[in-house]
Amino acid sequence: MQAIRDLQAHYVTPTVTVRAVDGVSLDVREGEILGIAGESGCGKSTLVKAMYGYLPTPLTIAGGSISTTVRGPDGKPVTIESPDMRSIWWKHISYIPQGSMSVLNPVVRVENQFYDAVPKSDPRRRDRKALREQLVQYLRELDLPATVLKAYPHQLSGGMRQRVIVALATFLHPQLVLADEPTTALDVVVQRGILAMLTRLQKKMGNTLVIVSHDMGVHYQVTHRMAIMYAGKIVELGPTEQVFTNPRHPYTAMLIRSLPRVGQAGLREGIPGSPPSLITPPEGCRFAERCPHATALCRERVPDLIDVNETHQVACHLAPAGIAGGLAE
Amino acid sequence: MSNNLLEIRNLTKVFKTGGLVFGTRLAAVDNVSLAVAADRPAILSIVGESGSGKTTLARILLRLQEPTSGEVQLDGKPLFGRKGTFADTEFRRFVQPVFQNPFEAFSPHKTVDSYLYATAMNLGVAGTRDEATKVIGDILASVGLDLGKVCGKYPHQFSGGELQRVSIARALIPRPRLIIADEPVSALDASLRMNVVNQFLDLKRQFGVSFVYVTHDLSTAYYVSDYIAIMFRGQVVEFGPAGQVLTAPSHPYTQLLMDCVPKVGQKWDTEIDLPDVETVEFAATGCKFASRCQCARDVCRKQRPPMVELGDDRRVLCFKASDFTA
Repeated sequence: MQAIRDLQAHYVTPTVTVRAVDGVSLDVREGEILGIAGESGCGKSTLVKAMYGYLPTPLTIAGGSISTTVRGPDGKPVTIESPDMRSIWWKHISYIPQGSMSVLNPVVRVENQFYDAVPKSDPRRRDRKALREQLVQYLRELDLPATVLKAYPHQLSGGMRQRVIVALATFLHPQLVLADEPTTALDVVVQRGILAMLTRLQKKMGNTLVIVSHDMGVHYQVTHRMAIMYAGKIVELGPTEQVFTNPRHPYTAMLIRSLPRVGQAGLREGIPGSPPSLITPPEGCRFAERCPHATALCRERVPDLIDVNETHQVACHLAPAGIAGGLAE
Repeated sequence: MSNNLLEIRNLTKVFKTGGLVFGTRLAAVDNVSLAVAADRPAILSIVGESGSGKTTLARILLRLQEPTSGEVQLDGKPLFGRKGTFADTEFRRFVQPVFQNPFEAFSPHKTVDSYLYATAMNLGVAGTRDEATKVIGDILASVGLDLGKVCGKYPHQFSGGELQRVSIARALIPRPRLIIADEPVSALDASLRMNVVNQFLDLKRQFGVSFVYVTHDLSTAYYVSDYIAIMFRGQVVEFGPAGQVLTAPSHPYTQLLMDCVPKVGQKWDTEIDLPDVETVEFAATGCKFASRCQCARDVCRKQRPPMVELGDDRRVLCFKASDFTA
């Protein structure tokens, strides 16, 4: 679906360069739900923006490549290189940005925002009435009342607005949907409703879904495979079940362990310290400063992503010795 | 009753929306009664989704908003009314806030230590700047920060977790008996949340401060609180010791909330319905959860449910607990 090779996505200003994504290689497979996890400021949103080919200044792709393969009009696969992706936006790839509470245009009725998403070249655009019928039908499938079409965004509650955005992003049945923190500002009941809606759609349309979230619980519930990012790099990548039951990177293990759970007593510690600066990243492993197991080697050399098994990779010098494995409960 | 640190009785706050004639009335806080005992420090969590009235309740407790009816007393002294209420300075020495987003709580144009000094001087904790420096240094040390590293810095020079700790330190300066924390960890990463809530536990032990912890995050609420109140559409639907309420919820809404926490180790298997229009639930004459409740019967839609005592300090606002009799 999408092949990312040694991607460097930097925020370049005259005085500083923030290396938000620093050498990420990742394959997004067709029909999977891929999760991207990590603390704020680890580059996960930047990665997704680059995957969508949306590069607002000062974000630039300083190195590496992203190739997206989509089914063309004749059914044959077409490969498009980032950042020339505007031609496939909405129809083949869609993006649900972070803070989507404010992405809808406040002065346009919801209905018209749907029409605007349909490309000018699409023949459906000529027949408003038929398009509206399709739209009502589609909303009914998603259990959304048709009354939302006549509403302005401020008349909808947060949860309803988010559901409208999901409907908008999937209306043209794109093959790849990128969702950046789709449920972060919402409460648990609405969060579950929206995740259920996303996964149901994914199952029905058989498309690929990438979900970015800092909530490990969300990843466990919905994703098939997950990538853990730390300070601009992927530190662990593998099937979700395996990552949770047998985390191989100390950071992943600490991230899982720091979650309080209802029904479990006992003190829990957060991860001490804070992530390093991405302007002048430290030499060696970027987690070394906060890692309880760091050795001299960790501070000197950057660990590569190595295979734990065919599906599971980790970037840690200590992984072969199985250090982090023992950290999980 | 004077042995309660905080006592809320039949508190109601009604907001009017819309025009003069056809406006609708919306009870953001609806007949809420809660108490925090004074004999030992406790953390009371108020949990609910957005629009449940929990922030309005917190704002009333901070005297930022006047209630429509009902009473709030701190240590037996009323917060609102004509006679015998708290003077402002006295009130601020007793109760202090911690807000959701520390980057919004501090002005970006001022150094954060100016807030610490202002609090110490204005509330009469310190008479001179030197005295204030000593007090502030001690308090920053108790939240794990160093005065030398905080002084002269602007908010953007801190990470979210650090700045939230500064705002907790600021709240601690007058040695308040009660801290009202409105969503203090929502703006923070999951890995940093634990550092802040551990700080609360530590301060409760060390200084005997009680907390009202307003949140929508059930897992941290379970972790820190002694008592928990679940709010739904302005009403407290369930109250009790945190462990019991969250591990064996009695109200169907609490059960729904618990089912919806994304857990690790147990996947969701059932479908879920979301409400179409939330204002309809606010205006419901009977139980406000009835339209989504699987156990609802006719009586739930017509009459207000009773508050049923379950023993062990537990209360639930549900017909099911009283065998569907009013």
